[in-house]
Amino acid sequence: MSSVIREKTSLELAPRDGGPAWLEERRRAASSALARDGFPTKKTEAWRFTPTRPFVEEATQELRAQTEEARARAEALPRLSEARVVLVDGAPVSLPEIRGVRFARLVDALAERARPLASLDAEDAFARLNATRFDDGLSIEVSADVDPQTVLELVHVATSAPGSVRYPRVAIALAPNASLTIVERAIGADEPSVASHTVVDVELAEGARLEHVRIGEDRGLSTAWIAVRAARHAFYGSRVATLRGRIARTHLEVSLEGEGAEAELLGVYRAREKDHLDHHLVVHHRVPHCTSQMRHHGVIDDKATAVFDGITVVHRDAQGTVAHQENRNLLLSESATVHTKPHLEIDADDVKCSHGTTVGSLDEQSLFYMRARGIPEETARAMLTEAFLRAPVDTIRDERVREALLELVGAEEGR
Amino acid sequence: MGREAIETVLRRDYKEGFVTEIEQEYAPPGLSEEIIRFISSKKGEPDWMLEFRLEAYARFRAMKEPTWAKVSYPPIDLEAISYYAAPKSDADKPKSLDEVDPKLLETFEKLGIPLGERAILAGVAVDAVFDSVSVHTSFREKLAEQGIIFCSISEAVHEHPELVRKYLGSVVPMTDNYYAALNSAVFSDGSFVYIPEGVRCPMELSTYFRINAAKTGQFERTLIIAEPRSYVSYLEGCTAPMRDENQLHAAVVELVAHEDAEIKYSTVQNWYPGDEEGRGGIYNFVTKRGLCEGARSKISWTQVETGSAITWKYPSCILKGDDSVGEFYSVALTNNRQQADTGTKMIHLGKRTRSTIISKGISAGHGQQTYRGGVKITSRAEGARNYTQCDSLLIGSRAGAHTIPYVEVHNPSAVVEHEATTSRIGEDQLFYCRQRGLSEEDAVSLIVNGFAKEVLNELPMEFAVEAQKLLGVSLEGAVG
Repeated sequence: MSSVIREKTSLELAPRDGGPAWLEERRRAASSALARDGFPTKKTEAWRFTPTRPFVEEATQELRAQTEEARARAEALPRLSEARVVLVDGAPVSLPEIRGVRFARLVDALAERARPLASLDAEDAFARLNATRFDDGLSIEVSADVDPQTVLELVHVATSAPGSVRYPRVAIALAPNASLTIVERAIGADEPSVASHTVVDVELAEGARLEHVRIGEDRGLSTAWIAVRAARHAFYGSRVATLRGRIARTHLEVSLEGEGAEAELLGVYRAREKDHLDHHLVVHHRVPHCTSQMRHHGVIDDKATAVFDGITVVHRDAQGTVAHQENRNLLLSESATVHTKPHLEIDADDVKCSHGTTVGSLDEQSLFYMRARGIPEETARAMLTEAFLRAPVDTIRDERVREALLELVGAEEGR
Repeated sequence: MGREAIETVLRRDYKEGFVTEIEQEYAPPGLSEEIIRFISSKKGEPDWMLEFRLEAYARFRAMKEPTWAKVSYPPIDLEAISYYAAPKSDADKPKSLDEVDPKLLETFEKLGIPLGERAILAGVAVDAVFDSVSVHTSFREKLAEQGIIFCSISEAVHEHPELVRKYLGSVVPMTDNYYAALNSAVFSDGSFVYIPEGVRCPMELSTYFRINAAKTGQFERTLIIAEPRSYVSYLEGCTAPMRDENQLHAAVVELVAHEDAEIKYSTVQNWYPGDEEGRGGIYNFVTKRGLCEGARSKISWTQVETGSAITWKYPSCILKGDDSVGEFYSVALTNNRQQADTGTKMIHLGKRTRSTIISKGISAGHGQQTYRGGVKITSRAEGARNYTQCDSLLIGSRAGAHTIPYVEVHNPSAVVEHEATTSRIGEDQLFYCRQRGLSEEDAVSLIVNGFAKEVLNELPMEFAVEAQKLLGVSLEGAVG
């Protein structure tokens, strides 16, 4: 539960009108929960190491300007796929046509929808804020007709107006046996006091497979709440790369709800200067015979801070669960900080669960080995760091996306 | 092995569940300044001690009971507890073993505690704390020859006030947490150990705690000081009678190790765990912390926790001196409705400080167990090193095992490793043992003891045997 920050915030907290009755009801509930619990502080367990004050005090003016400037910045990014949707301040600019994929404005899609989105019940203050205030967004419905090689690229960009905030929202639903890759890139704005609070819902029907790549390069303030529900034999593969962020918080919550469902959560983070990168991962094993894996590697340099919190919950009777967690961190500077908390909650007995975490600097022996073979120290360090960050990225299926991401990770090293 | 047979074994009796009928002197139930003054005057304490208690009480009243631990229990009514219970013969305190109430001696005999003559044979110096009062401290003279002080804390308050004043509350401040504050206000007795410079304590020091009277709480306080280049190994054991209401045990243990000193603190905790429905049992809310004050000092905690309805305990080390070492070895077992939230904290302040954490949790029946640990490497802890391993073994589909480690690193030269596994006893392991003619019982016992071996190896000899037996008894037939 959140605790109240006493100071007044000028964030708009009243629920937005419109949409189906269930949506209005959820918005009101989220708004009153927000009014009751307020925003988290250091005393809130889930926010112990990440300050929320900048979100509450600095970036409070809602903005849906859809400026040319922002759009141009998105367009200037090299494409990772032919199928690209640009979302400026949360609203899609145009919707492409792809076989097996139905894009729609979220407001339109929700009007037809009978069942609420799972994320609307989230107990996080910023997910509630999004639920209360989101205006437009993107709905992606994928049928089994889709070519499994399909890569969809979503680019989130924000208008560079200091003190502004936006609430992007994406709902992704895969029909039984549908399979594809979705790449989300968040570039935000080049402005420290611009905030985005993003919510993504992912629903995977039986046998559906989604590879979900998220690349975070937003230098400002950002939170992302990603709620995933996986049915029988569905596969959710998350590949998160967080490369910048004054405060970048990612909360990924996966609920394995059908037997044989699988979650593979891989990620890298690279914190520098005064960046603060925070990853919270939760996997719920609700039924027997599901598998999950978490593997996040991070490099922390300069005065940066990284937070990793991985939780695997094995619910009662979820027998036959196999779950692994791994978090490894490289600290490159005297003033860098890491907080890591891999966490297991197990209420069934026929399980195989493990977690491991390490914090350290580059392995001296490996360095020595390379230097003994004539590789200069600087190069050896860069190579080891890159190899360390590369491991989780290497699994990405689509070559173009993989190469681009490797370059992003590697290119950063070269500097 | 049939389900019924298993249940029969699981319905084992709590062996230490007897009550000793001796005359007790109580304070009326309830918590107030008067009670604290009563306790203090009962013990004839100096003013500074009373002031310490009253200040702690004032601070305590402003504090709230913590709720973050993963345990659930009905609210504790602090007003219903009697904060002072002593065997009545306390009025003329026993001077030697002969003067001790024979019933009391019988109690300790039942518990198998070596006192007096038996202590000499066993070579263990014992301070037995019965409810709230320290009954007898054996081997005192012999220890005194080397300048070692081993007595009850209330004696220490009179005889060594300068030491008590200097160190009491220096590691666990009275405002540290809710139960530590409560303890600081109402603590009744406990052990005090002082090892002078350069002395290696020639024998294991031991305390046995027992809660006997109904509707009482036990609030003991232990303080151990090891001067430079000294060594001491200290053991502590606990039992209580079977009662169907819950009893509160809120202890505070403070250790201080100076330069090159080493303190080894071992606990075998077997408070009454309650019956299989979760009625009764001890609430064990304990604050234990050691300060490695000097360079190259070492503090090692070893615990075997099989008792208590609820355990809430985190023996910790503050590694302040350069090159100091902290260790934590733990086996915790929860069966039936027992709940345990236990672990450790290692705070690395000094350069090249090292810590090792080995935690083994075994959860059976409806037992709920949480390992909660913290490793913090501060920015000036150059070259600090931590290794943590916490494994959980699950027996039965209603048992729970949770692992919550916090790792916080502010220095790039630190190396911190944490690993954990959770699994149940492998069918293949059981099959292998059964195939070679072991009964299922023996196979489980063998596997569990093997699982806990790394920790049991750390215990002093006499305790290791007891601990193994305890694990065996507590687990018999827990697997079907």
